[in-house]
Amino acid sequence: MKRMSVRAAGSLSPAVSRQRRLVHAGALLLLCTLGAGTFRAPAAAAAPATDAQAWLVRASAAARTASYSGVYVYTCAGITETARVTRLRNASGDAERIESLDGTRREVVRRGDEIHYFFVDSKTVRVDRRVSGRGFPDFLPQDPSTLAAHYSIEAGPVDRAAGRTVQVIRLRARDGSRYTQEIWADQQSGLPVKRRVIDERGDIIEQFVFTELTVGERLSPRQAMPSRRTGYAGWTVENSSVEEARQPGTGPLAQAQAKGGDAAPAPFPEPRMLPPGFRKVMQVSRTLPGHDRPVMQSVYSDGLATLSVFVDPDVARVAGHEGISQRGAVGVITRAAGDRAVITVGEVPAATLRKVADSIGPLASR
Amino acid sequence: MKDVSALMDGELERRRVRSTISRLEGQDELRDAWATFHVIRDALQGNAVGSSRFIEKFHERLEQEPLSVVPRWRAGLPRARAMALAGVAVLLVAGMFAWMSPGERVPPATFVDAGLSDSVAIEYAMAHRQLVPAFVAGPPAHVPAAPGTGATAGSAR
Repeated sequence: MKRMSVRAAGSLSPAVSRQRRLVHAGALLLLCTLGAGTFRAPAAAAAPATDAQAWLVRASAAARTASYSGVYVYTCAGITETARVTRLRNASGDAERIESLDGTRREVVRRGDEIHYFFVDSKTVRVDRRVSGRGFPDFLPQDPSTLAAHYSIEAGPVDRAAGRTVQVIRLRARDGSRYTQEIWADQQSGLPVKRRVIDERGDIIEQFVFTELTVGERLSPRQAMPSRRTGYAGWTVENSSVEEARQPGTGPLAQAQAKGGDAAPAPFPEPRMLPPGFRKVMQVSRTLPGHDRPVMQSVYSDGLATLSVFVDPDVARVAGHEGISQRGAVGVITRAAGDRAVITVGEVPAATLRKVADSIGPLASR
Repeated sequence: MKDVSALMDGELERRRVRSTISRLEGQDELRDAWATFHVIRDALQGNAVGSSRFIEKFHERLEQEPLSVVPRWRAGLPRARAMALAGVAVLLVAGMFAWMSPGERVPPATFVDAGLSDSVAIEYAMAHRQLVPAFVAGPPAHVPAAPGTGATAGSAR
């Protein structure tokens, strides 16, 4: 146990140096972007693609390095949720707090790689280690130029969002196997303040938008701390089983996930069909809440859109529930494969998901 | 930061304890870090704070601090109740709050359903979203991280 706590504590130091590196990298990127802009003519109505690319680079860097606090509204398939998010990055590390502003009271506080989920109404706190923890507005790849092969990237008009002047960037899907996305980037900081996922009919199927936003200085560390400081008598602590990677996989991050884990690679039934540009970026073995046995998960992506394939050793989980569900941008397909369940999930059109799901297997018998 | 974790584990040399404490008192960030470490350790052990009287005193002191974030976990807490939380499983990804309490906020009609139960769909949709954004901030695809040194690749966020 002691060793465990030491590890938890020690995990902050790499975060610190990493943070410094990122700040430097971000500043450099920002300088390059700004420098390039200085010598370029003001963007005309039809801005060249390179400008759109530069905006993406800037938005990506800002999302990875900026400190901010704001309220966002998420809309998906008729559901609306509002949350306050604060993200702080400085020399002492990286902290984040997300607090739901509607529905039941939920709060997520992350410091370094340690995450605390506070379920206020059920007086439960769940402790976990971060596996990814990224989301809006930090969703762009570090090198957005990789997206150009599968998305036509255009700079749109200058608009306003969250009370700020923003630049619209459109990533139009080059084929029907993925969705088109639109990003609104803050002109001042580069931070994405709005994101839309648009289906093949032009309907908005998912949207994030900040309604208020403060970027940079004037943020206090206490904004990223749990709102409740005392009075935890009677609360339950749930220690999540730490998610671990069993196989390095093919992606660089997957290898990172596998640090320290040198168990034998688990066989994974790869789908024979993936949409163009999708590649495997990660494979993990993880125990989901309420499960006795770990499931295997492989993640595939084109850099922006993602899909996961789960192999669950307990076929009873899906028996009688086989089928497809679609909610906004997210689709889920389940099917039984022998004594295992295969679940395909992703933010891709249903037809794409179906093709991937149908191409999995057969599963080797255990 | 190293001192803070050593202090937590009761391993810090006596002569450095005092200076570390005064640094903790003087620096919000360091103190917050200490408090967070403590919460994490408590929680990982599923337990109240250890028997060290020093730690207890420090604990009380932190609670009186306006910025203290140290919750007082009750001794002998029940073990994890995974099933109880299955319906409100965890996530960090923004936007996933919407998936957490389907019965309450999501009209069934919003899920185009062809036989798949909402609970199964939601469970895996959440599991997917919890993990998927991770790769995006990784290094570009054409820069493979050397096996065994991948730990830094994942930190490129």
